[in-house]
Amino acid sequence: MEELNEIRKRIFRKNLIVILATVAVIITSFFVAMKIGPTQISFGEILGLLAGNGSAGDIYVMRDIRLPRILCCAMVGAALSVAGVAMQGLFRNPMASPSVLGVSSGAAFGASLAMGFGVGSVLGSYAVPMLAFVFCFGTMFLVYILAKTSGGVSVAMLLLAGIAVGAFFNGMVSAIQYIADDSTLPGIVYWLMGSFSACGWSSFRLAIVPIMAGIILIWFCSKELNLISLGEEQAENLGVNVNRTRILLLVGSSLAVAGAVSISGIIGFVGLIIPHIFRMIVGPDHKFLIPLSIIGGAAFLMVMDAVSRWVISPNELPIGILTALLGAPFFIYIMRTKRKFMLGGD
Amino acid sequence: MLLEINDVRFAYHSSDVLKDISFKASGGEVIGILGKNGCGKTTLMKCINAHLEPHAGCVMIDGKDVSKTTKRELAKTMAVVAQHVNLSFPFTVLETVMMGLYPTSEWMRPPSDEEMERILEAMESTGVTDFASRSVTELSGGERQRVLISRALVQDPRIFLMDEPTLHLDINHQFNLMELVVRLAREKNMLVIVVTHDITLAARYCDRVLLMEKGEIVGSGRTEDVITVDNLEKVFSVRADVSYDERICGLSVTFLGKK
Repeated sequence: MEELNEIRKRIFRKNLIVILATVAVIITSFFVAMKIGPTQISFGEILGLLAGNGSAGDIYVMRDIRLPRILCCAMVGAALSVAGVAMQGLFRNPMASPSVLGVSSGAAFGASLAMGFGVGSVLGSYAVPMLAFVFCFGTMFLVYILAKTSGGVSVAMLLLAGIAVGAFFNGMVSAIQYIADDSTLPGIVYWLMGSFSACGWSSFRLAIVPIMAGIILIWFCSKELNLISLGEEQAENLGVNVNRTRILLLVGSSLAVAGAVSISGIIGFVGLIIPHIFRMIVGPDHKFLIPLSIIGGAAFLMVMDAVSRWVISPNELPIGILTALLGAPFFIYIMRTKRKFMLGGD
Repeated sequence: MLLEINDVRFAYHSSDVLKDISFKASGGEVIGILGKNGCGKTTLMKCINAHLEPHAGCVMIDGKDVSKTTKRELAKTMAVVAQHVNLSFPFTVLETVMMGLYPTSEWMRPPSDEEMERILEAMESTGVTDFASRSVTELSGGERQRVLISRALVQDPRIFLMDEPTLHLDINHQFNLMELVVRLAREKNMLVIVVTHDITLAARYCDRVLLMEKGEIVGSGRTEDVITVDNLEKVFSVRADVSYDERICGLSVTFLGKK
C-alpha cells in the first residue's frame, strides 16, 4: 500500500515540478514577447505601463497593441495544442490533428471565400473570422455524417472522411486563389500562412468564448480520454459512453480550432509538437497532459510570434512559416530518437 | 438469477453467428464456453457485455436488460478481459490498474484509501506489484494479461468475463489465474465466465461448461457431463481420453490425435 502511494506521490511530484517549470516558461515568454517590437521598452517598464504609468503612446502600445496580440497568441497556442491532444487520444494516432480531419481546410475555405469574393461582407471586419468559424463547424459535422454508418462511427471511417473532405476544401481554396484578383490574392495567401499581425482586442473577444468552451469540454473528458486512448472497446468495458465522449471531444476540438484559425489563419505543427513533447516528459495521463499542453502551447506561440516580429524587423515573418520551418525538423528529430514514446511499444 | 440469456440471435450480414442461445447462471459459478474457432464464443461474450446488440432475444442481469443499462452501470457489475487489447500508450502498470476505478470515479477526485486497498489486493493477487511503476508497453504478453486481469478485479465486479485469459500465460501463471478465479467465485460469490480453447483447464476448473458449434449450444451442464469422449469427437473431431483423476480432484483430458 505504502509502496503504491509512494509511486503515485513520485509521479505527482515530478509532474508538479514540470507544471511549475512550464508556468515559469510562460511568464518569461510573456515578458519577452511584451518587450519585443519597434517601440523600445525595458523589462522594468512593462508592468508599470500595463498599470497605466508612463507616456500615453507607450501605454497605448502596451495595452492596446502588444497585450491583446500576445493574449491571442497564448489562446491560439493553447487551443491548437489541446485540440491536438484530444485528436491523438481519440484516434489513438500520434499523427492525428485538426488538419487530418479536414477541419483546418474547411476553415481556410470559409476565410478565402470572405477575402476573395467578399462573402459575408455585411459582417464587416467579422466576415473572415465568422466564415472560418462556420465552415470549421460545418466541415466537422460533414465529416462526422459521412463517417457515420449503422454500426456507429469508426476511427478509420472518420480519418478517411476527414482526408477526403480536407482534400476537397484544399482544392477549393486553390481554385479561389486562382480566380481571385490581384487586390485580394495577397490577403488570402497571407492569411493561409498564419499571422497575428491583425490581432487586437476585437479578435480576442471573438475567439475567447469558443476557445475556452472547447478547452473546458476537452479537459472535462480527460479521464475518458485516458481510457479511449487504449481502444474504444476497452473504454466501453470500463464504463465509458464512447459515442457521447467522442462527440464531446469532436465538438470541443472544433470549437477550439475554429476560434483559433478565425483570428490567426492556419498555423501548423503546434497541435502535433506540443502534445508529443509533454507526453515524453510526463507520460500519457491526460490529467497532466491537457493542462501542460495548454500552458506549453500558449508559451510556444508567444515565443514564436515574438521571433516572427524580431527576425526580419521592422517587417514580420508570417508565424505559420516559422512554426513549419522550426517545427518540422524538430518533429523529425523527436520521431527518430523517441520513436517508442511516440508510437508506443505495439 | 444473476445472468439470463434468452433466445439470443445475432448475425453478421446475413449469416447467423448465434442461433437462439439461452442459459442462466448465478453467482459463485465458474462457467466455461468451449467450441471450435468461429463457433460464436466471442460474439456471445460481446452480446453479454452489451458491446453487440442481439438481433433477437435479450441478455438480462438481475432481471434488467443490459442493452437498456448505461455502460457505467454495467461496468460496476461486469468486468471484461478481452482477447485482443491495445496498450500502445506508455501508461504505467499502476495507472493502468487504477483505470478499473473509472465506473465509480468522479472527475478530479483522487482514489480513497479503500480504493487503494482494492488496487493493492488486485495487484498482489495477480503478482504485478513488483513492476507497478513500469510502462505497460515494456511488458511481456503474459505480464500484460495479468495487469489487465488486475484492472478488471479493481472494478469489483459480480460478473467476470474472460476471453482466452490464459493465452499468453506460462503454465504456472495459468494455474495461478484459474485458482484465483475459482477463489473469487467461491469467496465473493462472483460469476466467472471463461471463453477458452484450453479444454484441459476448463475440465479441471469449471463447474459448468457450454459447448458451442456453429452458433448453437450443443452441450450444456456439469463439466463431467459435457466434456466427454463423444462430445469432443463430435465437436472438435479429436480422439481423447477423459477420466476423473484423484490427484487433481478433477477431470483429466488426454488428447490422442485427430479422428
